[in-house]
Amino acid sequence: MPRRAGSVALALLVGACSWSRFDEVSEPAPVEVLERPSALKAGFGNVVAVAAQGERVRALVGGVPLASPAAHFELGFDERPGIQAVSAVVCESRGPRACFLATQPAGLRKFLLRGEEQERCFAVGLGRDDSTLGLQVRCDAVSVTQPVPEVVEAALTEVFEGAAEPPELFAASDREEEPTLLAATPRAKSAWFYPPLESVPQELVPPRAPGEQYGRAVAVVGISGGRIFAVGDPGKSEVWLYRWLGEEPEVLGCLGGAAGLGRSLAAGRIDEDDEEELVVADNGDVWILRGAALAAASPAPDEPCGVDWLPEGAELDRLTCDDVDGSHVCEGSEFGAALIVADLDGDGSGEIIVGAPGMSAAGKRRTGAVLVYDWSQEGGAAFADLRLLSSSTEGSRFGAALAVAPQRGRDVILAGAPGANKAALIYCSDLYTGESARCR
Amino acid sequence: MGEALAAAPDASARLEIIRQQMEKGQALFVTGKYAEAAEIFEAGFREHPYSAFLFNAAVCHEKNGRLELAVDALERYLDVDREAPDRDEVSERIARLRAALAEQAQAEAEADVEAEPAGEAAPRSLAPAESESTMKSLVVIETTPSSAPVQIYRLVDPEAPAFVAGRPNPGWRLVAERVAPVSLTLAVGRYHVVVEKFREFNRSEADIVVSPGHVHHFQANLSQGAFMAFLRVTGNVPGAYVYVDDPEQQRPPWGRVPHGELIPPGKHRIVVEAPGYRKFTRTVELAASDRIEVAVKLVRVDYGVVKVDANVPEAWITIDDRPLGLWKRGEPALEAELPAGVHRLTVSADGHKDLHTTFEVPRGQVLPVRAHLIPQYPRGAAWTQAAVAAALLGTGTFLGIQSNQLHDELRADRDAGHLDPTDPRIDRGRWFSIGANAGFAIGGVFALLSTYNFVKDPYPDSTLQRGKRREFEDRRAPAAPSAAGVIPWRTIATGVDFTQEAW
Repeated sequence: MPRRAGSVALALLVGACSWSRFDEVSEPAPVEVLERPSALKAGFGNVVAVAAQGERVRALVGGVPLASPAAHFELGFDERPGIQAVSAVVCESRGPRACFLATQPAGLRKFLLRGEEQERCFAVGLGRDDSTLGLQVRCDAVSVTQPVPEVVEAALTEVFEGAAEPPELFAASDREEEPTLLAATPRAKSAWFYPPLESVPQELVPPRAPGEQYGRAVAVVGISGGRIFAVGDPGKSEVWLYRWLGEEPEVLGCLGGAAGLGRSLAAGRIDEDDEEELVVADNGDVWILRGAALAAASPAPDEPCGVDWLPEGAELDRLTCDDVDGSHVCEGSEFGAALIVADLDGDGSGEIIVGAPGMSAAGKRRTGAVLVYDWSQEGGAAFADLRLLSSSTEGSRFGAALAVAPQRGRDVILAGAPGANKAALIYCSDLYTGESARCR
Repeated sequence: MGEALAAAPDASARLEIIRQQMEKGQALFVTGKYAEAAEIFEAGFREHPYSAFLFNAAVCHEKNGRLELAVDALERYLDVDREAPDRDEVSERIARLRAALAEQAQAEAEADVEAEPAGEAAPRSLAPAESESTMKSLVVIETTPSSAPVQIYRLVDPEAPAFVAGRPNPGWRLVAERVAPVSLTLAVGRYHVVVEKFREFNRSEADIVVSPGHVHHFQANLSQGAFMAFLRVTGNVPGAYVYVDDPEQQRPPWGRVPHGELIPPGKHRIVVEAPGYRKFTRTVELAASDRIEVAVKLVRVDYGVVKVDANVPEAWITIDDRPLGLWKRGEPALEAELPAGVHRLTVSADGHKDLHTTFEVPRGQVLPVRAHLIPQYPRGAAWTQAAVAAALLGTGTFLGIQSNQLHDELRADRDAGHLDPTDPRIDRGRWFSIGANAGFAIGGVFALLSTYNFVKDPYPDSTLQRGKRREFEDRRAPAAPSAAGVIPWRTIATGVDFTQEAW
C-alpha cells in the first residue's frame, strides 16, 4: 500500500509538473473546430456546406438561416493547420444585395457564372442582385444571382416589398465534375434544378398538389446518364422523385411512408454498384433506397405515394437509433435531422452519417451526436461509430447540420453545433485505419 | 613513682609508650640480641624510671656475659624499688653474680701467667638459671577512687586451689601490699589481686596472669563492684552509632565510633550503625581486665537517594520511565530511593526542552540534582510556514489530481476521436497543472523553510546539575552519651590481654 501510494504521489508530481502534455494531447486534434467570425452572432453551425475541387476544399458555415450571414473556410488536409483561412462574410441579409441564407446551402464543384466556369461555389440563399431576384451563388468573391422559377421570384418580390417573410431555401448538388444544382423553397412549393454548367432553372412540378413543406429537403442522386432529384415533403410524409437523363425531367414517383418521411435527404454511393443510393429520413428511421433500382424503375406518377411502385429490392436497408450501442438516449434525439453519405474509411463505398442533434450523450442533455453506419453486402447496414464534440455542452445540438469534406481519398465530416456556436471537422472514425496524426 | 604515673593527665599514652618499649626490648631479648635489648631497657628506664626496666636490663647483661653491668643494674633495681617483693631473691642474685665475677677475675689472672702473652681474654659468660633469665613485667594497678588498699598474691604452687578471700589459701604467697595506684615489677606467673573493703566500697578481686616483658594495666572501679574489661570500637566511619547488648536499639547508643569504655566481662553483642551503611553485628567475649578493640569496617548500603528539583515553576520528573511526580517550586525536592548505579532521568516542563540524561546513584549517600531546563525555541514562524506549506501543497495536490483527471478525460476523448482543441478542459487542465506546479514549488520552499525553522535551535540543551553528595540524614539522638557512666550496672574493670587488636 505505501509503495502504491508512493507511486501515485510520484506520478502525480511528475504528471502535474507537465502542462505541455495538454498541448500534446490536443494537437493535432481529431476534431478541428472552425472558429466563428465575430460578424456571425448566434446560431453559427446551423448551416454547413462543402465545395471541393481537387485538394482545395472550401466550407461554408452559416448562422441562423434567413437572418445570419455565412463564412467561407479554406480547409487543409489532415495536417495542421486544419483551417487555413477564413474569407469574408457572405450572404448578408441587409443592404441592396440582400441575401437570405439558405437553410440547406449546396456546395458545387463547378458552376457557370456569367458565362464562365467557376470552381468551388455555393448556392447560399435567395436574394437580390441589383434588380435581379433569384438564387445567389457565390464562387470565391463573386456572387451572382441566378434566375429562379416565376413563382419563386414572385415570392421574393413580396419579400422585398415587405409583404412577406423571406423564404427558406433548400439546395443540393452532386459530386460530379460538372454538378447539377437542385433547389427548393417550401414557401413557393417549388423545386427546380440547374443542369450542369447551366443557369436556366427547370422546375420540378409534382403531378399532384404538393404539401406546405414541399421542398424542405432535396437530394441529387447520381445515376448512370443522369440524375434523380428527390424533393421531400415531410408535412405529407412524401418524397417526390424526378428522373432527369439530360432532357426534360420526368416524374418517377412518390415515396410515402412513416410520419415525417422526407424531412432529410441525402445521396451517395453506398453499395457496390455505380449508382448512388438515396437516403431518406422520417421522424424515426432512416431508409436506404438502392439507386440502381430507382434508375431502373418505371415512372409511376399516378401511383399513390409509397414504395409499392418501386421495383423489388429497391429498399436497401433501414437504420434506427436503437442500433446505437451505449448509453445514449434516443428519445428526442431527432435522429435523422441531418443526413450525408461520406466515405470515411476511403474504401470507395460511402457510410451513412446520421445527425441526431437532440441526442443526450456523454451525460449531457441534447448535446447532439453524429452516428456512423456502415453497410456491407453481407451484413447490411450496421452501426459503426458515434462521434461527439468533446467541448459540447448541454444544448449544443451537434449534428444539426452535416456536410462531406473530401480529404485525399477519404471524406471527413463537417458538422454544425449551433447550440455551441461551433462547426467542427471530424477527422477520425472507428472505420478509418489509415495513417493520420490526428487519429493515432 | 606509681602515683606519678596515675596522676599524669596522659597516663594512658605514657603507659602505651612504656608498653611499646618494654615489648621492643622483650623482642630483642627473645631473638638473642641481648646487648641491644639491654640498651632498650636502659633507655626505657632513663625515660620512665620503672624498676622493671632495670631488672630486665640486668637479665640481658647477664645473658650477654656482662656480669658487672648485670650487678649494677640489679643494684639500681633494688635502690629504685625498695619494696620490691623479690628483694631477697635479687640480693642473692647479686651476690651470686659478684662471686662469679671474682672467680672470673682470678681465672683471668691465672690465665695471664700461664699463657703470657696470650692477649686479652674474652669475657666469660655465666649462663643464669632458666628461672633467672625470664623477663619481668610492669604491672600497674589503679582504683577509682584511688588510695584503696591493694594486695597481690602470687600462685607459688601450681596445684593450689583457687584463691578464696578470707581463707588461708595455701599455695598463694602475698608479694605486695600497697595503696593504689600501684606499679610493680612482677615475675611471670599467676596472681590474685585483692582490693580490700575501702570506705563505703566492698572488696573486689580478680585473677591476673603476668606474661614476660609486658606492661599490664589493671583498673578497678570500686563503684561497679566488679572488675571490668575495656572495649573500644573503632571503624572507618567516625560517628557511627555503637549499640552493645541492645539488639532492638531501645536504649541510647553505647557510643559513637571511635569509642571505648569499661564493660563487664563476658559475651557482648555489638551493633554498629551509621546512616547509609549496612548494620554491623559482632559478638565479642571479654575477660575481666581485657582490653579489646573492635575495628569495624562498615560497608555502604546498596542503594542511595536522589533528590530532584528544577529551575522552573513546575517540572514532571520520571526516573527509569516510572513517574516520580510533579515537583513545584517552593516544595522540597522530590526524593527517590534507588539502587546504586546508573539510572535514566527525564524532566519535562511546559515550554521547556525535555531533559533526558542519566545519573549515578551513590551507595548509601544522597545525590542532589537540579534539572536546568532550557526554554524551547519559539516555533511560531515554523508552524506558520508549515501551515502555508501544507495549504500550498494541498492545493497543489488537489490541482494536480484535477489536472490529471482532466488529462485522462481528454486522452480518452482523444482516443475516442472526440477531442476538439477548443475544449475548455484543455486550458483548465493546463492552468491546473501550472497551479499544481506553483503550489508544489512554493509549498516546497515553505516546507523546507519550515523544516529548517523546526530543526533550528540556537538554545543549548537542558542539563542536569549534580550537587555534592551528602550522607544520609542522621535521625538519631543528637548527642551520644559520654564514655563515663554509660554502664551503671558494673563495678570494676581491668585486665589487659591483647587477644584482639591492640590499641
